[in-house]
Amino acid sequence: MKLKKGLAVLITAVLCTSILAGCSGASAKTDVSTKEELNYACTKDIRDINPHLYSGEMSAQNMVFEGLTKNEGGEVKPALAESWEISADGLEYTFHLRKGVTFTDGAAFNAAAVKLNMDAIVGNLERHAWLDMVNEIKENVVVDEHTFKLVLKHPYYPTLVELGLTRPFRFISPNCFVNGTTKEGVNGYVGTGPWVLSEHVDNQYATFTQNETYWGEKTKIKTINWKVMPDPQTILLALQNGEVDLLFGADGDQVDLDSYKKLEEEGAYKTYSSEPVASRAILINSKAPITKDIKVREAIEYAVNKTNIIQGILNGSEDQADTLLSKDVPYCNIELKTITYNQEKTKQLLEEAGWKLGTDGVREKDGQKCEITLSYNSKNAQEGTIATSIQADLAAVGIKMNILGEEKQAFLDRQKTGDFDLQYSLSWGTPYDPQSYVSSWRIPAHGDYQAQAGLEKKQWLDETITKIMTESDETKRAAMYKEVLTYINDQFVYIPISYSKTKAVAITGLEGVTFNDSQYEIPFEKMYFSN
Amino acid sequence: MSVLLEVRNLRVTDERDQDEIIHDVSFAVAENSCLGIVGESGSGKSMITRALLGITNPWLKSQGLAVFKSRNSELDLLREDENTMRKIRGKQIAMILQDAMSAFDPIAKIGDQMAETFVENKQLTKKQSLTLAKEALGLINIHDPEQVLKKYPHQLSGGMLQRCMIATALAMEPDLIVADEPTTALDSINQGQVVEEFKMIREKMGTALIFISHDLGVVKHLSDRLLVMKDGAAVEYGDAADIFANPQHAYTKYLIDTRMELTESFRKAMRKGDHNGQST
Amino acid sequence: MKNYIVKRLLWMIPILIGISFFAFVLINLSPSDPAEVAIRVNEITPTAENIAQMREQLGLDDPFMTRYLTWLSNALQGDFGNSYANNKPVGEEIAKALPPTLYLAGVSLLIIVVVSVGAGVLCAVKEDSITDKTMRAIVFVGTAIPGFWAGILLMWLFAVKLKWLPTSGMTTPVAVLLPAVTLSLGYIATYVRLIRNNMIHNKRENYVLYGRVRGLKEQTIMKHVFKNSLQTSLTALGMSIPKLIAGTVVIENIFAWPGIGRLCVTAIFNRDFPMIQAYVLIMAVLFVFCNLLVDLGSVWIDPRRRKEA
Repeated sequence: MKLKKGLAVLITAVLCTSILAGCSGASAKTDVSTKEELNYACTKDIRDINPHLYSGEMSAQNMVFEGLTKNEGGEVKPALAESWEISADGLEYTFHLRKGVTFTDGAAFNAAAVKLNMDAIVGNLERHAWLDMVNEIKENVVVDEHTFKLVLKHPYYPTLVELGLTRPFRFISPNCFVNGTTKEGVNGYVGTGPWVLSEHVDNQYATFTQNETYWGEKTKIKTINWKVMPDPQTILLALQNGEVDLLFGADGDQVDLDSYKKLEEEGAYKTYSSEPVASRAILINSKAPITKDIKVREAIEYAVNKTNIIQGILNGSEDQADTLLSKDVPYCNIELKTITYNQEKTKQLLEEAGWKLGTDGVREKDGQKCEITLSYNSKNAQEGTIATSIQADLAAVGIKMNILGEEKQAFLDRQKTGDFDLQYSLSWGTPYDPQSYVSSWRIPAHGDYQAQAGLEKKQWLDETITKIMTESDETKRAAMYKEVLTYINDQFVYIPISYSKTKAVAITGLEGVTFNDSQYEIPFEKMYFSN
Repeated sequence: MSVLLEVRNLRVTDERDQDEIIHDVSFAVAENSCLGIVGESGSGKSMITRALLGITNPWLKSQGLAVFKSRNSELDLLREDENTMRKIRGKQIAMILQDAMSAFDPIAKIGDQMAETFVENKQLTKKQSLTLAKEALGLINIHDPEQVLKKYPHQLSGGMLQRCMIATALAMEPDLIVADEPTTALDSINQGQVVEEFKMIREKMGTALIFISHDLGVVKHLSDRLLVMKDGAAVEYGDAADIFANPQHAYTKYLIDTRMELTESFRKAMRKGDHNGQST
Repeated sequence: MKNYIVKRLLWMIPILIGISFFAFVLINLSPSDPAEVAIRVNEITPTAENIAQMREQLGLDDPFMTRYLTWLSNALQGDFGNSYANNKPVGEEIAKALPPTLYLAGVSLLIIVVVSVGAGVLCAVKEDSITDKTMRAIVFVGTAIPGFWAGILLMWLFAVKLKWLPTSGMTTPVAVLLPAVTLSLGYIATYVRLIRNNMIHNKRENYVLYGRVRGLKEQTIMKHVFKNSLQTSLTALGMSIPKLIAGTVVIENIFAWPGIGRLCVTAIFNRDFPMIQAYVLIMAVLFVFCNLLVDLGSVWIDPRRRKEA
């Protein structure tokens, strides 16, 4: 028995040292001059990339289908529509379509095809309830072969931006429609985009090949191999093994920060970081028993040491956020009262609110302990670490914060019912911020709504947001945004932490790795290999 | 008659606790003679033969001399290596165990098990071995030997299995057969048959026999010489008839008195089945 | 024998119905609303309207027994309904995902049998020797390592460092090796010990003594011992087959193996009732069936029991 135990220890020790030894060590730089295929690994399969539905991976939908407009560099740019006019009352948008464009199955892209697609989208209204735009469409009109008119019910200002979103306003060949519509599914994935989906094996891989009849600049890489690898560790190993050339991920999905840093240092790979994309914040529930007191919320804001989080957990890779939406976001370049870390202020506010320090270090009021819970999606390890940092910050001022990590559905259930004190929140990012994000505050199923539900002026807030969407006067709109954002800011419903960035890792030799406005799109068409 | 096996001062010690199990036993077996070893359970009767054949547990050490004269060679059984011993076992010294039912592999046919003995020891082919097995069974008057060979151990009676073991031993034509309590697990009818077979073996084949039993009646029927064991030591040794008529040692007397009565039923059976008119 | 088989097959029916009902009840006890989850799974915001529409689409407003009986009658005809997540027929999805898992489990079983028997016999023959002790120690460590860690470790060693195998995916024929080895690690210790102990036990049987006494080669005797030991081990090995098939989840995730383990876990996270239901039923069938085969097998192998039945 002793011998067995001793041997077991010895073998384990050998195994452990071998892992540590092997963890260092970069692979040699590969010669990429002849590479025509890009291997991209994703934890998810592309699934059903019907552009009018939400069952597929957005980045895959983006490769195959295009819309009238696209959002680039913070502006609306032409895509399948070359130019457009907006009527004076803001109710009619006339689009001049690009000529000579065909779907990859040969079908012509024209106003009739556009109308067919738009009608199909409007025909599935309930599915698109998150996007006000769909509700605002009154009529889709074919003016002539290359002219299409969109008629709205109200002057909806984000129209052009929302037409350029990854979904649902993208066009699929009329031949793919089933029973004259797309909501029951489509029998093919034929679009006008730079890539064609040539092969798809469920849950294993998908192959995209260059669209040789593309109307714009053809892609430089001939084939994209989308490989499905559910485990992030596996993806990292595959990268080191040369089986994968590119990792590209929005928040929490792919590269964890420690590995990111290590890969950076190794030199065989290049790491890329986008401009700030979305806002990472903590939601404070204005309806929950303890946090319904605005003084308590303000106190919590003063208690959080953001520097710790930015430097210690995020490794300085993201900028600190002091306002919910960064000043770069449209309509958010306003002066708001910001908060700097101040433990003394916190204690003072809590005392004022009647929370006295108890003997065990936790504050009490009327026999109740100051104990709150922060819930997060347990799959996101980074959120958990941030939560522990905040927990320590709050403990220092006498607030006991419990951390509750749950699996995704349970987390979302909790969000929907408002059964939380603190919750992790991520805005949607460009180009959805601010309008789509703010618009969603009105939807009860969202955590934002639930957190705001206890606010005195919640109803006014929702009404103002509705007005914003249909206000055609730019100045008035900006003023309303200012009102809404100032109110939210002064009510201390959000603790802004940082502005998230999209990250990518690619083998040296892959050039043209850039980021689109939307963190959910991957611009494969701009990438190329070069030694 | 020359001496086939001579054992002098056999000692068996348990190396784990230095306990002596067999103390200083000596005896001799002449060609074509039968030595009966009697004693109660635990007296060491089986242990002696196992020590001689080298199949005791690894922690038992055997000392002394055991000269086995066979086919122009003289070996000291206690000093030979395992390889030599293996060649002797089965071929020159055959052993028949007490519990026939468990002596065979339960999931292999009897015929195959008998045959494998011949294949390994006589270098025959499987087919030849099976034929030999069939003949051997015939030798001891088993009806329909073909059928018997095809059966599994659990399908045959204890007596039948015992006789298969005997047949296997016979077919090997050994110089010496050691029978360790062959009749103990059998009913009286089967006992009678088995004993008759041993008699036949002795008369027809000239094989020497060491017959171990606590059943004195059977031993008396077969043995020329007798060795009485008690607690690992030899209590009395000599001519069987003499000892039975005139036991010297008190223990021997005790054994004879008590055991003989129990075998009364056996004797009755013997008389019934005894065609040759021979009686004790 | 025939009667026995028929009886067992008949018993399968109520057992399977019972299991499916039980699973149905449990799944429906889950607090999440599947309609809502079905919407959320596709990154859409649930609103009161689309939830109601989804509920109707999925038939969730019918009473419990109606839904169960509808499901049962459809299932008996091979229609397991459509996945809540992507609306594809569940039967098809499972049919696509089952072969890779069976392949993986099959190769694992092979590895388990070969290694366990090899190591078990070796250890039994050289009972208590250094070989025996070392082998048992190695096997013990191998089992103590958690599956996901062992998997990543093996992947790093054989794929990244040595470049002998691909890291993941069901690509080349040899790609199954890493996941199969990882999967089998957990079982090998049990079976090595089982076979070793069985053989050691059988070594003490009387027929071993008789074999020695007849002058048989040690090898021949060990063959008998081995065959006897295998018999009991076979039952245990047989029952591990459904366990293997059901236990591939973690391995499939790490090695990007497109099997039903992944399908099942995704279904659970998505509260995809039809998928979960079908998976439970299929697993139940597998278990009951394997059970029957193993029982029949063990009766047939042992000549003592074969004649009785």
